[in-house]
Amino acid sequence: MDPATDFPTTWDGLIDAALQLTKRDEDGALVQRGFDFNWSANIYMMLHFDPMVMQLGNSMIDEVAYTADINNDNVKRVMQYWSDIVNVHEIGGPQYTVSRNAFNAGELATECTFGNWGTPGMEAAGINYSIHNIPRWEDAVNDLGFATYAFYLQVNADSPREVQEAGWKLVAKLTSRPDRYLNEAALFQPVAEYLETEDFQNNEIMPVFLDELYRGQYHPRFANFAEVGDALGRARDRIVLGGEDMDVVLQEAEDEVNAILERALADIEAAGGA
Amino acid sequence: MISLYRRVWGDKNVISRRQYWGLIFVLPCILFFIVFFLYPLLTGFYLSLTKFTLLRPPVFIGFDNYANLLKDRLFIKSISVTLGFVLGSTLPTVTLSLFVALLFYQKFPGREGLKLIFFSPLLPSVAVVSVIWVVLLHPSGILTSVIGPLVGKAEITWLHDLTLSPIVIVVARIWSAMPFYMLIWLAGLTAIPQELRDAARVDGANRIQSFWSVELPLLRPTAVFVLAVSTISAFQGFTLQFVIAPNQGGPVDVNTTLGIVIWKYGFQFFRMGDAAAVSVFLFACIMVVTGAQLALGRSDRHTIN
Repeated sequence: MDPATDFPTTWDGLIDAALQLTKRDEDGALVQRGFDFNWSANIYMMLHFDPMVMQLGNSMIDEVAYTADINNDNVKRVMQYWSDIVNVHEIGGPQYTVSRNAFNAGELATECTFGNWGTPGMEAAGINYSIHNIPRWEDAVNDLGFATYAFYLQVNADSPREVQEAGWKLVAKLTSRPDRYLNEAALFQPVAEYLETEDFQNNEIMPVFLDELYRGQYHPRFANFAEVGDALGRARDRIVLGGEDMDVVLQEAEDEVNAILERALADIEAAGGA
Repeated sequence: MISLYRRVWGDKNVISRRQYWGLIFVLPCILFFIVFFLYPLLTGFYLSLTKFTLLRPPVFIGFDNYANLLKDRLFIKSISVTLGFVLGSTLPTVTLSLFVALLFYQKFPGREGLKLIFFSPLLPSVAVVSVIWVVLLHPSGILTSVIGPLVGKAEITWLHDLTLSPIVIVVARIWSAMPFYMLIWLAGLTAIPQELRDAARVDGANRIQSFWSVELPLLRPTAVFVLAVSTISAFQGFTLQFVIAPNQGGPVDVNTTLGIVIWKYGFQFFRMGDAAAVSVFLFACIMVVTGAQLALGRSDRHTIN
């Protein structure tokens, strides 16, 4: 397969490609996985799983109203896709080496959690890689890839004035060389003027990431997201590993997440927040 | 210090110069205990009565955290997981380590070398031991290559099977803890006067009768110590579940012990008050169980007729 021409653009196409790229030994044990999700942390339920749901409609979490809608057809469809990778196609799952490590070790053909910061590691591992957009559902209603996350430089508004001034000076200094951040640390600072420079225009990796950045969403942006991720990850494992009834598990997850969000909202209101 | 003591207690209770220096010498230990044990203990209890998210100062809410725990699904599940881990690992660890100690108490060629090999799991930290087990337990790893052909499987999901996973964690715990308790049992066996065994033999007791009627009763203090320490250690189970089990305590919380819940609530969910309440509960559990074990050890002292 030629990644330049054969890389799949749909989730169903990705399974077909993954099956072709999967290699097993004579006993049937996996030697190379064609594609796998990252199952190692529950945050991926919001960074990857939920955007797949968003492609089909709305997010599982309403970040403004602080409510959850989990037991619906779109979530069931995405959950079935994740479950089939483990139980039907048997090409991956949480039991195998974590996707990033496996990719750099040559045990995984397609990985979906690396950012541009992952490329130095791939090069150090001697991997011949190419970067592509995240697949979409064939009948997707929203054109977006996985969720984008970012780290912010913040200055505490409650700190003394001189501390705030020094803080902003430090922020200005740290954001003054986006070229060095990108080229030497593989960290992207979205500074408008830098995007116009020749240095950025000549970057071979960033266009794909920037394209997804324009379409994607920052998610999660609500309090108690780690707890919500934990509940969602448990629900996924009950279905994928435990083989439990999807309707029952998703309804229980919805109730649990709604309770978590209700508590989060009450805490915000008690603290005088919006 | 002495003058203060005199003022408070009067001349009748004046401490001797020897006691005075004794107090001075134990003072660092007392201070260490106060700073690193008593203060955290009391602070932990205070935090368990507060709502505290690290971002704002703690707010006193009385016993609400404890009341909430009663209907907390994860906490309730973690109690049964912890009890399963304690029962599953403690009794086999205690009995197997005694069996191995009895084996090493015998004289046979290569005993010291074998003892060293057996002792080796104790040398690395539990985190390192855990990583070794993660490698061993890869679906197509070394253990699968040994056991897989026997059960006709190319891959075994040791850690992601909801039934197998807690068993594997218990086995790892027994493997890593047994050498330490074996040493304690050996020390206990060595402390038993040989004359008692010889006397039993003269009276016609065979090896098993001698162990059952002479050695085992005299090992009672050792048994109480081993049982108490291994139970406490199992109740505190965290590292194996954190490193070996998928997603820290998974899958589906089958390895989520109280220790994992404390970590999750405190450092993942930033619910410090709830984490402190679980810590206090765990502390109380350990105190009750250990107290019962020690009381059991003290009562009905065995005598050899």
